[in-house]
Amino acid sequence: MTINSQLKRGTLELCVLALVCRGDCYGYELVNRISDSMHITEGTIYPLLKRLKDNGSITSYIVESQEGPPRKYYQITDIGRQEKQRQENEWRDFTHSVEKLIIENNGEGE
Amino acid sequence: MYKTKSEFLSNLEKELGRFGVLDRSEIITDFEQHFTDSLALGLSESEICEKLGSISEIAKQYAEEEIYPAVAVEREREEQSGSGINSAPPPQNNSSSNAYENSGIRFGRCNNKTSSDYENSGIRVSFGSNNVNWGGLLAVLCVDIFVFSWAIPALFAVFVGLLSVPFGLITAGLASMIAGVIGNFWSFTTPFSGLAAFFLGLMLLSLGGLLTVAGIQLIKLFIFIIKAIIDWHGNMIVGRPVFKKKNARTSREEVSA
Repeated sequence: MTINSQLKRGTLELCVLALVCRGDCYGYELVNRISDSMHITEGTIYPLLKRLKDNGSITSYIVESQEGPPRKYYQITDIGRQEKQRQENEWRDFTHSVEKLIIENNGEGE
Repeated sequence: MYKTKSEFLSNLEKELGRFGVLDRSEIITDFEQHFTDSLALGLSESEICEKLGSISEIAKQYAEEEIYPAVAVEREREEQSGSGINSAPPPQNNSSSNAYENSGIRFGRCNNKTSSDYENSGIRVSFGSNNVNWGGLLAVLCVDIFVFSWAIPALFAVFVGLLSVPFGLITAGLASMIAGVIGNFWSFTTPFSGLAAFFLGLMLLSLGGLLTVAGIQLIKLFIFIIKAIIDWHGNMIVGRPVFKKKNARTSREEVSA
């Protein structure tokens, strides 16, 4: 596993929470928006959505669509909003620390 | 790698079953929707399958996500005290959501979040590495006394019935068929003709066979229920199930590891 794929796995949850925070969306919409900006195996989004639903971060509701079967939309909950904020802070702290370390090490090397 | 939608879905369902994932039909519906949406965008079925990735990977993730809340909370604590590089602030205590989770009630997959009966039974006492939940123990005892007093005798009666009725039917069917055949050969008097007796026997026999199959299905159901009850005991007393994987990893753990 490369660093990239490990990082993605850990941060995918934050990405999903952030997207659902912005507005309700259905599963495929989420998959598309995320895969637009990074390479993911699309099948991994669905287990993640189910876990977020199980732990109460998001809820789902069904909307009948004019073409095809009814769609399942996801909506953020208060718990989900808190969780997103917590993970966002964690992410910022983490990237900040990593960046600091990388820059310091570069300085020593010269 | 699979090429068609139906192949992908049927194999995914099989794989989910292999990993013991519940809610399979809901998951399959989600993936069906994914196919519908992707096809509408003009992708081919094999392209969609490729983008979705490996079926066993997906099933494994569902199995890992099915981590029991009480275990997850415990793990997070271990993670916090264990790893040094964790610069993150301590996790917020969502006590509103954790009240239900700590009581560890998860009977099968009912998700009965509204049942507040047990919510506040979470008096936890540290007991070596296991957290024994005394409130949970008390609740388990009450339910067990109830179950042992009448549910077990009742189930036993049903079980004996399930064994004896098909057995009786099969015996009667065989006897009637034999009587029909013998009656034709030796022409001793039967209430009705040999052929009628033969077909009556056949009918009884197939009824017996049908009930045997039904009995086997019912016994399977019993085994499932007994497993669920044992898991529930584990959840109530030490906060983790007996039959579930204990080493499921959360994705957040991976990043801090």
